[in-house]
Amino acid sequence: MTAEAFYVDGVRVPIGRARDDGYYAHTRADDLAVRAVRALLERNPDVPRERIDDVVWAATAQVGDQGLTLGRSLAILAGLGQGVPGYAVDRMCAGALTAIVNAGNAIRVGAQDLVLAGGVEHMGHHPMGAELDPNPRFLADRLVDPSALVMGNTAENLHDRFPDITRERCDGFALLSQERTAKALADGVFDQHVVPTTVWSPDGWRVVDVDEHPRPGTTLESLSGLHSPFRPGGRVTAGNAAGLNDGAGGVLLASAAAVEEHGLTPKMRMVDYAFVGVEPETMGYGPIPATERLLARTGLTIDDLDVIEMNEAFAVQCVAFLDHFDLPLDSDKVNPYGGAIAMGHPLAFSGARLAMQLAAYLDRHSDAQRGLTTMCVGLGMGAAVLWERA
Amino acid sequence: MRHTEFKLTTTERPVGRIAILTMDNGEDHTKPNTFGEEAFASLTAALDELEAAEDLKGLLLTGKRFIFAVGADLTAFEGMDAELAREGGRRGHEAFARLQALSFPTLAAINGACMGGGLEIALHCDYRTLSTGAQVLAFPEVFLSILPAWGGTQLAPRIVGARNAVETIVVNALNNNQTMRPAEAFERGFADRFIDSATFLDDSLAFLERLISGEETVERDVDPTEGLEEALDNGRNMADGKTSGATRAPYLALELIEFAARGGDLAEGRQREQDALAELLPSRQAQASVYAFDLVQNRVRKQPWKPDAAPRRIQKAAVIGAGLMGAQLGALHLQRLEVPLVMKDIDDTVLDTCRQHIEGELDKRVAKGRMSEGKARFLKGLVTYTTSYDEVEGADWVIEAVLERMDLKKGIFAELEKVVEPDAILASNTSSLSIAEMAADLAHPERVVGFHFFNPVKVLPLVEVIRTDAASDEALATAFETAKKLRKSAVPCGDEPAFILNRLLLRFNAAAVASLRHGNDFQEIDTAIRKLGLPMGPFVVFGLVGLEVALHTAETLQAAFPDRFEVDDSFRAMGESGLPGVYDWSKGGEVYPEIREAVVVDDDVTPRTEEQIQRAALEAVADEARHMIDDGVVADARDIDTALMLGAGFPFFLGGICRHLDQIGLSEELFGRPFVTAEDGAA
Repeated sequence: MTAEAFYVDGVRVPIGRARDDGYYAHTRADDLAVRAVRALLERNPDVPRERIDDVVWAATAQVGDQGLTLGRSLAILAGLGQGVPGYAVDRMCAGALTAIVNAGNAIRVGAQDLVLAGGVEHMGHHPMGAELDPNPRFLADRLVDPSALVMGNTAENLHDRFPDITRERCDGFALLSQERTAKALADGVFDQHVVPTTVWSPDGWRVVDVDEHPRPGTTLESLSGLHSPFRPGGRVTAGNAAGLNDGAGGVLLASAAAVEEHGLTPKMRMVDYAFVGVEPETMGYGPIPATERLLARTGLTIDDLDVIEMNEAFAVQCVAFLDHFDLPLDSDKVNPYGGAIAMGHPLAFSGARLAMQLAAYLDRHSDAQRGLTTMCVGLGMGAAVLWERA
Repeated sequence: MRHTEFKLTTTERPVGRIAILTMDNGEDHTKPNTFGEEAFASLTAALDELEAAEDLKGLLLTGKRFIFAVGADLTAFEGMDAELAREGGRRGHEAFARLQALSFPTLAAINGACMGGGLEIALHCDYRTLSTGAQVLAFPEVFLSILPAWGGTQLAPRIVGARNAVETIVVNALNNNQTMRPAEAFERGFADRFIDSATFLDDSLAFLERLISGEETVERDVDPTEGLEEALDNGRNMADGKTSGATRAPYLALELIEFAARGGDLAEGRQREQDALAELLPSRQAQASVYAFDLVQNRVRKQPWKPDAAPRRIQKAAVIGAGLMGAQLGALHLQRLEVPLVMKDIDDTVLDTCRQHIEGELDKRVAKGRMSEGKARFLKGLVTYTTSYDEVEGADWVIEAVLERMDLKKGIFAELEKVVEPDAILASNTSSLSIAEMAADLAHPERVVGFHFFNPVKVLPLVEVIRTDAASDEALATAFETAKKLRKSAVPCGDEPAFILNRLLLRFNAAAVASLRHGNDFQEIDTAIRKLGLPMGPFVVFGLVGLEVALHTAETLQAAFPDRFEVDDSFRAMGESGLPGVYDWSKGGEVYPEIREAVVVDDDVTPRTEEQIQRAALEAVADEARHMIDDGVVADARDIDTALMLGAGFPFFLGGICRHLDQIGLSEELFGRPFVTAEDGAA
């Protein structure tokens, strides 16, 4: 017997580019998360800060300004009170999604009532892999192919595995991502969960209030001209892959009792989830078996899902998913607001954005009942979480 | 240091375009934003843009991270004449008035340290938010014998009321430059909203947006005249008490505050500020203050004298002699070093009293909420009260504070050497005995240093570090490092009788006391000395030090320097009287009859005038300072001035005393050269 865990609200900062002149080049990662946490609670004034039972926060690089067990650091830095605990989680790209699942599970077993869950990744301060020391056995004992450790190469491997997925189809998917994101921005879809943030820059303090990554003027021509950096004759480009980004954000999850006590209006219910392991060399395949397992567990089919928020690490990974489930490239229910190719992918944070956008979609589509958030994960994993309108 | 730039960015918000003006000198927080000529050029350029912009709905002014702005650049004050001072005032007024006149709402978001001109620019904005992280706010000007002259005296009474304006500009400044914590500044009305530092700028911007949209308004209910008379009286009393009128700054500040509080015209008020600045900034008081500020705020903290050797790590300390002084030393060492501490005495009763003192000091901190009970319990548990030297074994730092008898101290050091390691440091808190002699018979005399505190230890920041020729670099480095850890200001001095402070003070005060022989009265002498700007006259000082101790110091010095230190009959009578002081405070401060009767007035003398009393004392201290420098007791006059300010409360506006002696021409007259030379930082 399990209790229900509800998604109440979510907040994030605008996603920046991980560059020396990007939004957050001079801003600490933990300060970005503090901004999101405080804005989230400010928007939900009926939730007493000291009643938060836990702060579960993800980061892939848990060192420097993302170290010091982030969840607890945030509880102190954001002024939640000494009595609020917290911890850090890491499942690389699915970090925030894992944080949300953990938080939801704590509520589902009845141990906790109000939990903040989210993620942060400042890829400018923590370039991918820079602070890692992979065990030499991975390669020496041939546990994985060398290509498994470079995400772009795993995407090329996925192309090799599915020869029908051409660069043209991937560029087409990438263009769709840009177009859908541009439209969503124009429609103000993200306004409900993006907060303006004051940041330091060499020109003085400035305010960032819109994602830095999208390239609204993108065309197929411009995409097709891009160089493929991972191998000669490759198909993966900066245009049909997610970017290197900085971002942070999180969500508030609550039990039914907390919803009632504090008069909250939940948007979604966390139904079930699945994490799977796959070949590290084609980690982008992960969402397919993860979703299959989740559907099997819940007795649903892909048609029972009204909307799918899938992380766009690489277009090839998304197209493989669409092909597998016989969905068209421009399926209305997959990434209706575009995705990480346009918006950027600050690794461990991105899962929180998927949940926020799913909630935004349900808000705007009263006929939609059920949605999925799914991601591929480095070292060969897939993650899928099923949500229902509350 | 790089100059402060005013950096302008804008942001499009739902209420319209808002400008953000950031003050940033491009350095980290250890070098705060200051306002010099270039800063005003930058501000003027920003104002040109702001005035020309047609679509702006508001302005947020803030600082770089952790710092708002700390006001004028002090180094620019040196050698400034009246015209330059007036021009400096005018430049600030003009720029800040333009900021004030902007057609859209302006908000100063005080994100960090905010002092002087920083607070003034904030007061020129329509609204202010204050971060819980802005730990230091103040108007320090009067402390430096100037006043807030970029509108501070005129706007503060209007915004926070006369009472708070006087409290901040005059009382706090004279009270050893006390600063406000953010909660206190908010309480006084220096900001309209008090905002958590975590997202201070985000929330300040949101506040400005709500002000622009009309969703939120600010109510200020300030009657500038409320409590005005009382506040002015309070300010004048403070000024009289602290300076005896020796610096004009607090009085001028009070006049200007009164002018503003009574509804004086702002333009006229600014003019008056410029007049005041033109008078004050070139004055000897302000010029001495700039010199003094550098000595006390910068130089002494940097410890330029500390030898380049690794200090010994102190993991256990001991104090020998648990009497009045020893108990104070014990309390200080325990609270600052937080290491096992041994209090050694020969008398269990003394140890009991000592324990009560040390534990009582901890309890006081707990009661004030400055220390947890658990921490106090832990610290109490670190102390061993003993009559045995055995317990001192393993101590890295031992300081003795027993009676001033050479045989006794030598005996103690000999005992200590048996129980501590050969390189443990031995320190003496003697006020007059020779350190070299104390160390002479030890196997390791190089480990001995003088480490002389002043009573009350908790209050007075000075420690004289006495170096003998034998002292090792490690011993001296440890002494300086320990002083820093104890949060005391160490000034080095040679191993000469009475070291720096007591020697100078005795010579100075004895010269004043000698006026008794001219038929001058006690109070008359005290008043004359206080009118120099000193916190107290010689007879009050002797009362505090103890008459017997004063006599003992005088005799020591007389023995060492018989041609300069005489102990006359009046002085001896005082010292031998057994009385608690010169004045009987139980009878309203009358001089004790026994002391009055002991005065012998010379034949054929007339009483000295006030100036003559002062002159005699100044000549004496000048002569002694000259000897001390020439004999190498101190390296230069700055060490003397630092010691006088930190150990005896000599005011900034005298620059200790040497700077003052130069300014009034006395050093030139007596020695044909100044004390403070250009290399020492004189203008």
